[in-house]
Amino acid sequence: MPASRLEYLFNCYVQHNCSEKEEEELMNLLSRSENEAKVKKLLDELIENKELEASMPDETAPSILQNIFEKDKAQVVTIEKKGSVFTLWMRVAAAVVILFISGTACWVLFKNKDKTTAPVALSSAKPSPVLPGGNHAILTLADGTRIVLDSIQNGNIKGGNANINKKGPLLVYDGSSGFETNAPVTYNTLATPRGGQYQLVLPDGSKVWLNASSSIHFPTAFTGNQRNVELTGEAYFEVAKNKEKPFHVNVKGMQVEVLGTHFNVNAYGDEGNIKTSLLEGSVKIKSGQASGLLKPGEQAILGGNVNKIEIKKADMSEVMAWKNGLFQFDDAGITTIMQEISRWYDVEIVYQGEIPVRRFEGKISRDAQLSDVLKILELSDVKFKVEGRTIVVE
Amino acid sequence: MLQPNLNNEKELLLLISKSDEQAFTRVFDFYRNKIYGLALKLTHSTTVAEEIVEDVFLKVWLRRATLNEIENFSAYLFVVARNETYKILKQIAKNYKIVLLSENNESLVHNNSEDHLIGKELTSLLQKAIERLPHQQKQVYKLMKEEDLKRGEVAELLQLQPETVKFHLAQAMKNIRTYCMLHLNTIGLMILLSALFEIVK
Repeated sequence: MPASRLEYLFNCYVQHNCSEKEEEELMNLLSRSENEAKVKKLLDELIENKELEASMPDETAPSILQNIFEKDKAQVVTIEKKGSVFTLWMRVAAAVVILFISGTACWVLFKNKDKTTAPVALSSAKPSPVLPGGNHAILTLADGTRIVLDSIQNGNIKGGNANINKKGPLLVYDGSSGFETNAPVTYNTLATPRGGQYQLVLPDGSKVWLNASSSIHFPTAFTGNQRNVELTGEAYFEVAKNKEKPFHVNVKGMQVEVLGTHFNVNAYGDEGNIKTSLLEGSVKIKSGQASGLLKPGEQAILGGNVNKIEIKKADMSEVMAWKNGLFQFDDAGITTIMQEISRWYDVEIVYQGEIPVRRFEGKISRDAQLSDVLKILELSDVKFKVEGRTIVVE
Repeated sequence: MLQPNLNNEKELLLLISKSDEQAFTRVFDFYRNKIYGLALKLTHSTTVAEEIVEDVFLKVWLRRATLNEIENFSAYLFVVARNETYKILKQIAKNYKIVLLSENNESLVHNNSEDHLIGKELTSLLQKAIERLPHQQKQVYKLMKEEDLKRGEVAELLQLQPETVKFHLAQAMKNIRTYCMLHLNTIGLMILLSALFEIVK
């Protein structure tokens, strides 16, 4: 949207000169992260306006001050992101909340864990329910041994000279035991299938959350003056600080260099690109001849041109939704949504006829049954037929 | 560009950095109307504008330890105000459509599903919004929506022109609506939408 349209709508809204439709259009623009800089500039211009004062009722001033002093004493910080409060509520209420908004349709479905879900007639035959994903992964050792992690007990795993410990959905590599510097470095690979996810602690203490259909290839000890890992699919990293040993994530010819930081790499290639999003710290992206520096809240996109890195602001809660147990879409097309669903529920997607152009926005718990998710999508005029493990989109 | 500063702003800031509540109150009183004005222009809701004033000054108070190092306090204050207002505006914008939709279905008005655990919580969010209304708006809203009085009856009861009653109700709805748009991301969200779901079902 050209800045002038936003400016026009903003100004007429501020002057109470907007029609309902114009106000709705403005709100739509305001909700988008990419307009942040422009909106903030408009706010700055508004602030310069001398006639900005309005009389706040005098009675409210003392109570506001009182609230401020009390909140400080109670050490309640009211400033944080509301997204995390939403997730917390979900666990507390022990219910599955699904929310989906699209176009003019808008509704919610509740599933109480104590009640049974109403049967959904999606096809004439009664299909076996398609379950959501879970903590599944396979560890491949240096000698080629494959260990299916979900089927073994917690405890130590024999893996060459590495100290590996499994604790539920978490694999921990203990790098504190001494290594002979002359011993050859061995590599392991942790891979998740479709419908899987897993967590890993690398030998340097860095934490990795692996999404479905992904893999990470790493050494059992970080000898040398660098820490290098290879990624396919998607993972979120919290890298342990070590200025002497920069941490590198290699993805399909692109390299992410970090110095102790929190970031997410999405290398599925869904929209033909690789996205690296930074939450905290500092990250350098290198690809071909190009390189770029990321600041927190920014995302680097590597598309078809290997020498071109695009950096822009992105909605971190949307990027991190998968790690927090949610699907979250902000203005996403149906193909993006179906791709995530396909990986998590391990189903195939087939499109019949034209792909619907609708844009979707919403949050769904990743614990939801596939049938529930599709029920919601159907309300937005998209039809599905489920045949075994294939979803046909009409 | 900006109004002249407080005469002894530097001293006040030093005191505030040492947690002096009186000094903070003076600075608060000096700047609050401008922050309120900005917030009101952007949200059209007195209820939410008051919240923004509180949020902005809370941030300043929480960071008071470093206040005396700030060269230009009013510039600093307006940066905080701008960022806070942007955040809130974006939040409202995100929930805008949902709340409008629910209003068209009248579910925002009153939800009587007592048996539904959710219904109780919707009532709670709604009650909070109503409680924060300024006096006249609260009166008019309660009489018209809870007591089901007609506009003419309310006008007579409160000794107001019917047009004034209509105005107060419109302002009340606006305040309730904007308050809900802001706070929907916590408990309110699914509650409000469960009410919607009841209607769609």
